[in-house]
Amino acid sequence: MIFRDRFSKYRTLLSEWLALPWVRFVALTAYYLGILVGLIALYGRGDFSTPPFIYQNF
Amino acid sequence: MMHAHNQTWEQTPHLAPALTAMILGFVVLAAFGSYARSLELGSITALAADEAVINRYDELYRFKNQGTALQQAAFETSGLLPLYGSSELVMNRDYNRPFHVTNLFRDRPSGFTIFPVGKQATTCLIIQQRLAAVGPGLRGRKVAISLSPYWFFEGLTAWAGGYAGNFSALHAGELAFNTRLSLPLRQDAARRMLQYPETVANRPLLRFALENLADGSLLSLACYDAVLPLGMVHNAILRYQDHWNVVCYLWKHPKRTPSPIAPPGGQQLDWPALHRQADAWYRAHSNNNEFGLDNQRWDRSLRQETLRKKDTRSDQAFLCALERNQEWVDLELVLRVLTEFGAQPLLLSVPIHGAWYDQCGITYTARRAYYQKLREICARYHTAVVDFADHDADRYFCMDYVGHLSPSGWVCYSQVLDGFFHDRIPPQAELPPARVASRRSEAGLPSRPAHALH
Repeated sequence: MIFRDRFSKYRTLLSEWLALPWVRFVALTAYYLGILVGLIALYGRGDFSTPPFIYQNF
Repeated sequence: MMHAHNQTWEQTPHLAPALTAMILGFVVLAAFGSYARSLELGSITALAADEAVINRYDELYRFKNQGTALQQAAFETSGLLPLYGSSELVMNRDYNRPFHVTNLFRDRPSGFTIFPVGKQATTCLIIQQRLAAVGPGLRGRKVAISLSPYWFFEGLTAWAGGYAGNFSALHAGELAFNTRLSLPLRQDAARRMLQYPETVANRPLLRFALENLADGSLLSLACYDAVLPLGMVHNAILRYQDHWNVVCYLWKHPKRTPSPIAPPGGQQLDWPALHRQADAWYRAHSNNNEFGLDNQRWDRSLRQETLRKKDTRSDQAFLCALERNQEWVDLELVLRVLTEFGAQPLLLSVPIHGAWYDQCGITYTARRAYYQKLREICARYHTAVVDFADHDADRYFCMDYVGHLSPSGWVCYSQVLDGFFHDRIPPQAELPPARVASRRSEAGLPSRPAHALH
């Protein structure tokens, strides 16, 4: 019971805090930055490999 | 008014954060680009002096050849001379180690180091794309290009497997979407690149651009112009990927620019002594055959190949292949890129292994046409060329007939490169006259050009 009261209290606090325009702005900006970072992590290295070929002149 | 503003903000709550994230992303990318450039510039001299740069099994070897970041850094660094070539630049025999150009100039004995770019089967069409990708960084800079005569008469065009194995989407894109190059040059290059369709099969944007460039009609050029901005953005992404790979490599292998051992201008290397040492060194590794070919390769394959090809070819067939070979077209493309960017090039050509081709049935009279044509093309583009034609009969310049340099060949190359860097290119030796009925080259020509002995 006490645990549920506390949880509800924190949730209300968080909701109120997220309702602040600047907090919402910062959170969404971080979210989009996260997406960008994810894309860079996935595709940042690129693929510079070439198909192998057999060179017999060495 | 304020109310209307709030209403818009409430209706599109993601717009401003998304835009802010994008702007921050661009700022971070720009900062990363600047950091990467400074790291590359700070490490390039040390990288050039490291033997990993010519080790085909090292990661650096791939970034150097397939990317652009390190090549651009090399052009921006004053004590480096970029040298483009193919398999001859690779460390292919241990006994070559002390005389390989990378090791010979490693400690900058005369004020500079070589930055070699190239691997097996890097022909002119690939070199042209690599140089186009360096772009305006070429302006006023010296660059040496090593050619293998073998490309110009064996077959009629560059080998597709080798071309694909050297192809870089970054380099090709930098050529196709490079508005600093003239349109006719891009069109001519596109026509040649499309002759290797498998390299662009999975790259729809590049293929579309090349096809429209090659077509050249008004409608096609309009289509090309329409995708040009997209191509430029794509190139920018590839450039960042290249920087990222190099930066990761440098984090793993931190290098520092060494302080110059010799002052700019440097000292004179003792070339006659180096020639003597290299000759003596190589002869011990080429004494089981009459052609001066590498002992190991002779035993493994060349003995059989030599016997198989004895007297099987003719001057006429050689001249026909030489005349029709597409490599000349590609060489002209290289020279056009260099001319349009205002570079100061030197073309080096490995000499043909006269003794070996003599026994195949191709005489110096025919081989002379290669040197002659090379000189004519270079003269047309006002480009310096050293073709070592006076070494055609030198059995110890190359370790095989394909044109892989022996220690003696490397010292000759290095001497010319040293002269080029210090604006002391030796005068081109006269083309030795055709010797009628010279079916065998009995070392009738000097084994070393006169200038090499001074």
